[in-house]
Amino acid sequence: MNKIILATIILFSTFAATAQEASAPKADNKPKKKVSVSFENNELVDGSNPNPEVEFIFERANFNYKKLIRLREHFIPEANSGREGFGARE
Amino acid sequence: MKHLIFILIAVFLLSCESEAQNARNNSRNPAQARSKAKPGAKPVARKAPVKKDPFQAAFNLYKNKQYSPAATGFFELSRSTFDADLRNKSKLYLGMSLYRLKIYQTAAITLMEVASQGSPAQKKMALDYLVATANQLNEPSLLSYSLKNADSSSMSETAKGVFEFRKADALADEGKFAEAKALYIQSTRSPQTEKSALYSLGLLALKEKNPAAAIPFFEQLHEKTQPEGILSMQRGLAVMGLARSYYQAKDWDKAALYYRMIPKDHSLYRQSLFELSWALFRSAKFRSAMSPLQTLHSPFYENFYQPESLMLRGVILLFICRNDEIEKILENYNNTYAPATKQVDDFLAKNPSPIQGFQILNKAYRGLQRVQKGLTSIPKSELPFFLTRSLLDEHNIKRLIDYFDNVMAEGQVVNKTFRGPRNAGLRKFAIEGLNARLQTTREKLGKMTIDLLTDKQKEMKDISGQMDFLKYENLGGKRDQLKKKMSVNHVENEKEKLDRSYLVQNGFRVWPFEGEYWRDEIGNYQYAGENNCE
Repeated sequence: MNKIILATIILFSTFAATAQEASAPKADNKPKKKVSVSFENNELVDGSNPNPEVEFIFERANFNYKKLIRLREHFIPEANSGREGFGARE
Repeated sequence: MKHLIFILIAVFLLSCESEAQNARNNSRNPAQARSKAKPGAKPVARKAPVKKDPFQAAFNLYKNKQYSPAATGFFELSRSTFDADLRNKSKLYLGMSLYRLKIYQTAAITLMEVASQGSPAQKKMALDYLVATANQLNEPSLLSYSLKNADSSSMSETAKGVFEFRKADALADEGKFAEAKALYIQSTRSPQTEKSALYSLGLLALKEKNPAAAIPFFEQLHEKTQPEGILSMQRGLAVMGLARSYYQAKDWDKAALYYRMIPKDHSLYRQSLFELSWALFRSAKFRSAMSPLQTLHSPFYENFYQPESLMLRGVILLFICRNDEIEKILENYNNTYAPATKQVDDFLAKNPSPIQGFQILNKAYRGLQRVQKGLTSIPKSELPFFLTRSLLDEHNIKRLIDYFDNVMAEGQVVNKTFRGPRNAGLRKFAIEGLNARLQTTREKLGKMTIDLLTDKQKEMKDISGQMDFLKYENLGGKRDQLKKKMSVNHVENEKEKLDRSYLVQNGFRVWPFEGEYWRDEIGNYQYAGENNCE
């Protein structure tokens, strides 16, 4: 009985390998498509969900982004430092 | 008869001659003359010599704009007279003369004395000058004193504008926004304070979480600063103000537009890149957001404290599932910021004195001056330079350093203006006063440095926690990628990623990064990675 099972597995794997070899040359023969790139339109890398509001993406269940980063809501401390650039002195 | 007349005339002339001789002798030796005078005889009435009024003499010099000798005259009188009113009057004019000589700190010391001890009229005049002096010095405690006590009703229009602007600043710092706003609006009428007031009005609106109200103020400011050069700080701040207002209003595209208006050689360029990357990230333009971050993390900016930008870069890479690149970010953080955090911990654990704090800041300041001159050697310090230089950007620190520098420079002016033994008293008085102010300011700066380092310690620990979380999420991502690697298709994708020929096909040139950089490349880096998420 064992011999029959072993023979079936060997036969099956040989068949699978032959099938793969046969399909491989087909893929190689496909002409390569020219990739169009523009750095102006941000099209090279897109988020998985390119919604204008990133908060929407944060709501994805499988990430803990809300815990991960504190979103910058303003740059008031930096703007406050700019006050030195203006003075009331003569 | 003729003989008699002749004899009488001769006797008269001889007696006149003898009288004149006596008078000449007396004038040469008055003591002898007095001793010769008969006791009980009436003193001869003579015209007394005109005694010069020392205040009038100094005042005449002041009126003739000879402020240096006038100051010496008023100083000597203020030290020698027992008349309190004359003493205060002399001190008042001494302060005014010093103000005209632009010796502001010494003027302030003298004017403060009159403001507390003088007559009501003297007090008023002293306070008016004290407001102007405090404005020039930009020292918070002196400004606060003069603003609390001075009355603007009788001031000139210019002085009023400055007074109102400074008072508005003080009110804004206290959180009294409505009162501050009213005074800022009034001070926009004075040409001296117009731009400052417009910037402050915009900032106030941002603080009030009303970015829409801030935009018109920054627009006006932008218009007013247009004639200035492209590298003008005020023009740059106006553009940044607009960008920050649009950012706060969540109009990411407009914010990015304004951030991109800051020229590459502007001193605000590095900051604009950081804020631009936030704006692009929030508009979900991940590749675009990566490009300014690439510039910020090039060796050109390695001497800057920017852990938040590193964390942001890590988060974007996590968004696009570039787990291999996150490793580099974590490594960079561990090599740079983790040791810096430990150094700050060790420094603060020693419970440093304000003078030790000042020494840290002073080394950073001198180091920055050397860097700005193009020199590479920086004074050795207990804390890394990239961290301590960030303290110098803080508003209150900048303001006090500016004051400190002005007082130092005033010492040189005093030594130059009041040379010679005749001015020794005033010179000594001024130098002693300046040294006392320098010591107080050193202590204040040192204390502020320690407080800021404590804040930085908290900030770095917070970012360190976020980096740990990034590491944790990255491990999850790596697990998923390992799963992917088990498939045959994945190998083909890897081959595709290493091939940059598609960039060349599109007319771009590609130089692989090998740790070097060229100055003209700053700001031109483009992130060419792809989204690896499935």
